[in-house]
Amino acid sequence: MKRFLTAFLAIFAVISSATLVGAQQSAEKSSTTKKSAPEAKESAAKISQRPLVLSGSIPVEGVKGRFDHFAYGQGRVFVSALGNNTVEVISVFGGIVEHTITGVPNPQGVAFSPDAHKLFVASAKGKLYIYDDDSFNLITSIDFAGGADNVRYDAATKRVYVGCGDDDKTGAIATVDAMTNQRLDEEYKIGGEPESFQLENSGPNIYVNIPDLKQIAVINRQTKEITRWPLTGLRMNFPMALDEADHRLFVGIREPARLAVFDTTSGHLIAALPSAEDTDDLYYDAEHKRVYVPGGEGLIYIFQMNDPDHYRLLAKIPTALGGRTAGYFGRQGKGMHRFFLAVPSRGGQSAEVRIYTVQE
Amino acid sequence: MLAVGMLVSRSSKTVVAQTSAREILPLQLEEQIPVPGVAGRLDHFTADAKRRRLFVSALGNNTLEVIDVFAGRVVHSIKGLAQPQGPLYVSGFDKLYVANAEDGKVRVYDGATYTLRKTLDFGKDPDNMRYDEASKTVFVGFGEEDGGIAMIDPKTDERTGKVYKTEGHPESFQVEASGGHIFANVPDAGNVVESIDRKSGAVTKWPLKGLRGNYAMALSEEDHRLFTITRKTPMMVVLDTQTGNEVTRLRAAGECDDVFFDATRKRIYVVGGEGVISVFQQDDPDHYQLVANVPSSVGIRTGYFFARRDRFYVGVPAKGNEPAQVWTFEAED
Repeated sequence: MKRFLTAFLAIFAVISSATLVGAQQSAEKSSTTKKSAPEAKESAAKISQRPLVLSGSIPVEGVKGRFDHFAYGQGRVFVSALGNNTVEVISVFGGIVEHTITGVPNPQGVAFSPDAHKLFVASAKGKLYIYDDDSFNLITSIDFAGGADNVRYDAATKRVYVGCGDDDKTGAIATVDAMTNQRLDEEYKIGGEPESFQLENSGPNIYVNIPDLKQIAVINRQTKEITRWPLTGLRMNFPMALDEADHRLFVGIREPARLAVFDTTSGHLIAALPSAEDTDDLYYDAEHKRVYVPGGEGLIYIFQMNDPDHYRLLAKIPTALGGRTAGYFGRQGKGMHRFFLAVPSRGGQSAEVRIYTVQE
Repeated sequence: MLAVGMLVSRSSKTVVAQTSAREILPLQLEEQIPVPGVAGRLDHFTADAKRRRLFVSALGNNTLEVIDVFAGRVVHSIKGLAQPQGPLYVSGFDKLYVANAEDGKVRVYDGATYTLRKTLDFGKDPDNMRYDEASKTVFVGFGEEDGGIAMIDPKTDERTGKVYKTEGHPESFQVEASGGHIFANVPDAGNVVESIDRKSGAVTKWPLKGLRGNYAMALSEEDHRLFTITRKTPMMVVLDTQTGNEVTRLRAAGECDDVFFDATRKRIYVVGGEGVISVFQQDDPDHYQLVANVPSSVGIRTGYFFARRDRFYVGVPAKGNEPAQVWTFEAED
């Protein structure tokens, strides 16, 4: 099965690169046959038609290795430098790294609580670190057996949900009170290591990717019941985003590289579209009804939702090898609508956080 | 496969022919001036023509960099600022004004020695500043929801009492020297251009119909034309300042934060953070066309047209091992 899949992917890659070359050539050809003024006009139109436009870059000097997840709060972007054992605090307005939190072994998920004025950082080495949002001094840390990975902040309950554990016994979604820093009794054993998960705001559910079990688990926070959606033909379900208004769940699949769309009311698979390879983050843009899938292969795939049952690939934006994690937080202050992408250091070039501006 | 090969060879030939026939770009890169030790965003510029100096706000670095454009190097760095945005040099009084977003203050410096003379408080987010020679007044755009345009008397460096309310933070604005109006981009107030009567303070709102994020603005007073640049969608909107009617709109560089009108060549330069400078030709006040999208670099979104030197300067933020820079373009006829 796997060999067949590899062969299929190889053929697909050849075809897609061939079409890409063809498209490039025809674009080149059309531009060469026209005179300068219309050509310039055309290129202006082309520039603005891309759904994401690279508009800036913030160097993150001295950071080695992989980046992991992002969070946003009070004009700052927080990004885990997993391979560097730091969390980088970026001032978006100033365009600089404002602060570096050191001494976090393999940080992964980050969450910000504006209510508690705290930053929560999950470490793969088994702790949740809690920092003051002004001084970035460590307030305390909480142990999590088997590592802590993704974290989400629930403003309604002022709780931090922590994906933790690495096997059938320890795998769970645990909770911490953001105000008191206490680990709470609310905990859901899910029978495997959780990857990305999403909290429903308008309902009781938590959706969790469990690639070990080839499942998506749906935890009902009221009844404590867990429903499981098995995945068939799709393996390695890592990132996830939720569109509550349309009852859709978007899941990034690595084998094969697909964007899978589920109906949250029924658990049915609505669509599975070829998507970015090696993805670790995925976002839904409710304003434009688009899904952004950054892939470590060096592309962001952007899908347009025509209606909740129909999707199409809108664009593939070339980025950089290893650009697999990103931050998207909707529209922020001064109307800025941006997408942040982490690019690890390579050769002599320092690591950077790229800023893409969302276009109409 | 054969067809593809033929296509390649044919198109590469036409490329060669095209290159030799292509006209030169309206802006030619002339010099790259390093601005060492500056991290983060560069914001707006101002200039002291007599001393041939250019000032750029290093917003992320909390400094104002002073560049001798004749020598092509940084000659001074004013430190201790708090997210500086729009600087303004007023030659008549030989003073330099710097608006600071973070602490809400406008700092006033001596134009010759760059020593701090005074600090004025504007509450929140003083941003762009303009000088009106006729009334000898410094105008300061500031504030958030309660934003407006305030005034400073450069003789005394005291705030005059009056504030023109704009119903949101004013982004770029322009002061009419002859007509008695101030035009301000106020994206917070429903993405409008506000025309403010300087005598009565009355505000007329000019909507931008379907466009959002109007930040940069330039004025051609002679033609009664206002150029406002939107980010969503990236457009240059030309307005008639006498009627408020839209004359035309054209696609422009995205993520723009500065635009300038070159009165000699009748051209408009739109600096876009996505990595191009859109240059438009004004054929007559009602007709415009794109001359070229001059490639710059990603993240370059502010600039300055130094009419006296016929040069266009842009701020290039530091990236990797490359320090921040100011690039000099020569404006071509």
